[in-house]
Amino acid sequence: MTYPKELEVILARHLASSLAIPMFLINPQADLIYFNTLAERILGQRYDETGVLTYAEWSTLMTFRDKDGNKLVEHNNPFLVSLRTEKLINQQLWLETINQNKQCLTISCIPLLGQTYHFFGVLVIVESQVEAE
Amino acid sequence: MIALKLWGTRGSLATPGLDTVKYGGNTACVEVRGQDGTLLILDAGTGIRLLSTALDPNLTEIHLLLTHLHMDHIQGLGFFGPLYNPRTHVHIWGPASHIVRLSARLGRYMSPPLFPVRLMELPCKLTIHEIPHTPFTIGEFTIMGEFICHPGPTVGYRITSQSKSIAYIPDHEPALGTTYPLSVDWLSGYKIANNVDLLIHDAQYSPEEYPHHIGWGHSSLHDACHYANAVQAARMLPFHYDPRHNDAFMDNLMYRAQSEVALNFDLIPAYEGHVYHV
Repeated sequence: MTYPKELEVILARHLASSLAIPMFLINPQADLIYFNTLAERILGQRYDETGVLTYAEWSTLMTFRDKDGNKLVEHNNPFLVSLRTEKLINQQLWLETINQNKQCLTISCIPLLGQTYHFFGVLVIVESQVEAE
Repeated sequence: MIALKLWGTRGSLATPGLDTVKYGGNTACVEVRGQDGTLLILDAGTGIRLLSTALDPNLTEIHLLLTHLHMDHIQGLGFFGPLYNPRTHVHIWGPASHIVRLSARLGRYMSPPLFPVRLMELPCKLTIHEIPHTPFTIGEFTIMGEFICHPGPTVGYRITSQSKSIAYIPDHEPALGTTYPLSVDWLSGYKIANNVDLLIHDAQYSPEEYPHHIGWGHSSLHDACHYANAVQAARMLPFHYDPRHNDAFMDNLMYRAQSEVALNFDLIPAYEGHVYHV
C-alpha cells in the first residue's frame, strides 16, 4: 500500500519517529500507516515487519476495553471516533494485544487537519499508565 | 518545448557583486514560456524587476505563481511593472491557508510601513488565487501545486506541457527528521517531482553546512542530488544559492557533487540570465 504521502502525514511520521513517546499514525481509511519504536513495544509488532496494516488487520492485533471491561468497537473505539469526527479525543482505556499483554493507557487522538481543512488522518499519542500482570 | 529563463537564482538575500555574477545575485524568479507563448512567472524575488523590463508592454494577462511568502520570494513584487499597468490583468497564485488568506498575507508586505503602495490600490486588475488541491490549467500548461517541507505554507509546482514537465521546488528540506533518503512514497514533493524532465531544486548548503541548519527548510547540494536520484528526474538545476557562496565556492561545490554523488541525472549549473529548454 505505497502511495505518495502528503506533507502533513510525512511530518507527523517524522515527529513520531523522533520522540520517545509511543505514537500511531492512521490515515482517513483507518489504515495504520506508521507506528514508532515505542508503539512497537505496545503492539508487540515491528513496523519494519508489518508495514502498513489495514483496520481489519490491526483490529485483530489490538483489543480496546473501557474501565469496566466492555469491548470498544467501531462506534466507540476512540481511534475511529476521532477519524470519523475529526475531533481531538483524550481517553483512558485498556488495551489487550494478541500476545495477551494488557495495559492501561491514556491516549490522545490528534486529528491532522491541514491549513486548508483537508483531513489527513489521526496521530495517536499514548501514555502507558500501568502494565498489567 | 518549455523554455525557462532564470532571472534570480539566489536564496535568502540578494547578493550583487563581482564574485556572484556567474551564478547570480538576484533572488528567486523564473520565467517559463510554452510553445504557444503562454507565460508563467515563478516567484517574485528581486530578479522580477529586470524581467518586467523585458516583457511586452502590451501584455494583457499575466500569471505569477508564488511558492511561499518569505521575503526573498516576494521582495521584487512591488517593482513588478505590470502591477502598475491598468490594462493588465495580473493573477497571483500562492499557497492556500484558511488561517490567514493569501491576500491578507501578501498585504502585510504590500502596505506601509514596509511598502508605500497597498496591494489593493495597485492600478492593474488583480486576482489572487489560492492554489487548489487539484491540478489547474493556464494556457497550455497544466499545473499541480503541493505543500512541501519548508517552514510556513509552501508549495512546489509541477508544470506540464504536452509530454514535457518541470518541477520547481526552490525551498525544500526533504531530509528533515529522517535518515535520508526515505522510500519515495514518504518523500516530500514526490508527487510533483517524480520522473520530471527538469527539476529546479533547493541547493542552499554544502554537506558540511547543512548539519548546522537542520530545520531551516533548505537542502545541501548533495541532498538535492540524492533527491533528484530518488524521484528519477532527468536533469536538475540547483537553485537558491546561499548568499555566502560566491562563484568560486559554487564551482567547487558543483565539482564535488559530480564526483562525490553517483548521479543518475544531468546536474546542470543554474546561472542567472541563462535560458534552458525542456
